[in-house]
Amino acid sequence: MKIYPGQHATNQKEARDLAFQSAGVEGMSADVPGMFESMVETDKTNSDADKTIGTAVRSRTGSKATWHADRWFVPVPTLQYQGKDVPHLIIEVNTYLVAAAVVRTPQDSRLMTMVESMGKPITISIPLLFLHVLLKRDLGRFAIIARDALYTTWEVPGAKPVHLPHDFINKLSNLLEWQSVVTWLEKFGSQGRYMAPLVAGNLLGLAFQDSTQPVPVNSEIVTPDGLVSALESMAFRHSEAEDMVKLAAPRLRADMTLEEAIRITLQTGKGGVSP
Amino acid sequence: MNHEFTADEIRDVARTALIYCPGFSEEQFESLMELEKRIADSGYLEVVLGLLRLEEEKGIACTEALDACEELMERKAKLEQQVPALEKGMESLKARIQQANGEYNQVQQSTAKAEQQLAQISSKYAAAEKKLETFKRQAEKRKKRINKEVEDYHRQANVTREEVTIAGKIKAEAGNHGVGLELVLDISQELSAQKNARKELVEGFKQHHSLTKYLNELSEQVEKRRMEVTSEVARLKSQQDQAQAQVQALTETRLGIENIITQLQADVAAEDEYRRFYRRYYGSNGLLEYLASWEQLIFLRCNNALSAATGVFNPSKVAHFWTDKPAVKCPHCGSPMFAYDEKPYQVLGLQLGTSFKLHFGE
Repeated sequence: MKIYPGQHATNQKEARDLAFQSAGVEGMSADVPGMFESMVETDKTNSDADKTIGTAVRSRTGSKATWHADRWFVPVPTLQYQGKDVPHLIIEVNTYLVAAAVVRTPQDSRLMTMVESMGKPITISIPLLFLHVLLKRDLGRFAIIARDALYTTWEVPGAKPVHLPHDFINKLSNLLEWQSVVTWLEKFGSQGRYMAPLVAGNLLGLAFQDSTQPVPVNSEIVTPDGLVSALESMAFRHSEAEDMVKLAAPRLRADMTLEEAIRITLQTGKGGVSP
Repeated sequence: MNHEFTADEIRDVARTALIYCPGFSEEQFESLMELEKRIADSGYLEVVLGLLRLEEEKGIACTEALDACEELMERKAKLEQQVPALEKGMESLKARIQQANGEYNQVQQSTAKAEQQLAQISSKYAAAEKKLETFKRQAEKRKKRINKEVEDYHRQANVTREEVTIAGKIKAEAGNHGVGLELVLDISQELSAQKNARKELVEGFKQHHSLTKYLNELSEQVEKRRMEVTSEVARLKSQQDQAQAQVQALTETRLGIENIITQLQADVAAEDEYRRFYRRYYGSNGLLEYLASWEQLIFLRCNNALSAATGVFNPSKVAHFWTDKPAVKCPHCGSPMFAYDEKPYQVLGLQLGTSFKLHFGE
């Protein structure tokens, strides 16, 4: 917990700035936390907040201190791109408590501002295929396998079930009607700007998937799994193929074609001369 | 996008896109970005839509658009050259309309005059008919009077019409036998079985010195009277024929006048139709001429979801608009959802979306 002497937050905006500062996020737009407000369980968080504030006050000013606090809960999302298997955009939401407390002790009265992360972070994982379908306003193509008052769960082929809050989906749909995904990601600040090219690349790939001619095998871009599969089809055992790939890994590049990667892997495996 | 991707970021985009689209390249991404920049310019989109429309409607490929544009510009220049002549024509048309109005007024006056003349002729005709009836009655009376006179003469002569006829026949028969009527009368007189035959013969002789002579004189008188009556009957018959000819002529005149009246009434009805048409549409003349100056008229209506839904229950709630160029959004609500307005195309008997230009006759 970070405790600042004095009153550093008198309204939601100041509380949000303090929460961003404590979470270490930079350049996040003020309206981003609003998308995740529905994930904050207010009742539970309020009781936890009372305990947290009380503990902090007593530890600083003694057990006889009484206090009264204004409090704000600020959900702060952090982004992560997961490209293994089915690419996902992962958003981890931490709820920050910002409390401006008036503390009275037998000797004096003072102001304190406390900032603390509350509870466990909530993680939502959005397959980029799901985001693509959301952009196309065609969510009906995924079967709904569960729904309650706050969340809906969709079954996305090739990925784990997608479990998202209604409020988040509605706000995201409305928002993407008027702005691009990249613009939305940029609102998350510097982390969003890092994610934007990867997310945009996936979405463009999905958008142009049907309109592009099939690529010949020799022009296909290499992936570790693809390379292992190719070696297996050349009568190597799976373990042998994995070992050969590990051996050749220092010479492989992500933008190599599969044909070129096979050649290098075979040469490396045979102890040949590197190109 | 607020900032542009760097070269490394573009490489990341292209590489990530390869997961789902193996043929995707950095060049494709850059061309997409270029397209996005161009689409941000509303004029570009309008040009693209225009080219697409040109290709769809005129069958002119994009590559030929410039040539087509030049051709259209030339046509525009030619049309603009025609504008003064058309304006002059419009002025001439206005003058003709005024002249037609003057002529219409004259026709109206003529019609009124003709109606008056017709009324006069009708009254004359009625008077003539009345006169003819009177004349017929007089002729009948006169005929009766003459017949009566003839009968009186017959009575005075103590002969009937049949007797006169028989006398004529007897004369002819006697003549055939070489015997004169006088002789027959003499003989019959002399041979008659009258009681006072002798006395009468004596008186006849005394008066005429001869019975034959007396009979001849009597016969001459009767013949003379018969001729007079016959000529009088012929004269009366001639008068009757004349009167019937006059009636026939008057009837033909009446039929002629009735035809003229029918024609005039048709003219008056046609003039009323022209006047109604003129009063109804003359006020909109300027707007129609302005619309006719457009190269084409496109009838559109708003088709956004709200408008389409309310339009089902109340068509007047739907925004309708006409343009001469392809529209990109509804001028009422700004929505890009709009469609061809079916009603004007239905009224004009055109297929939906057919290019239409307003033309006027001479």
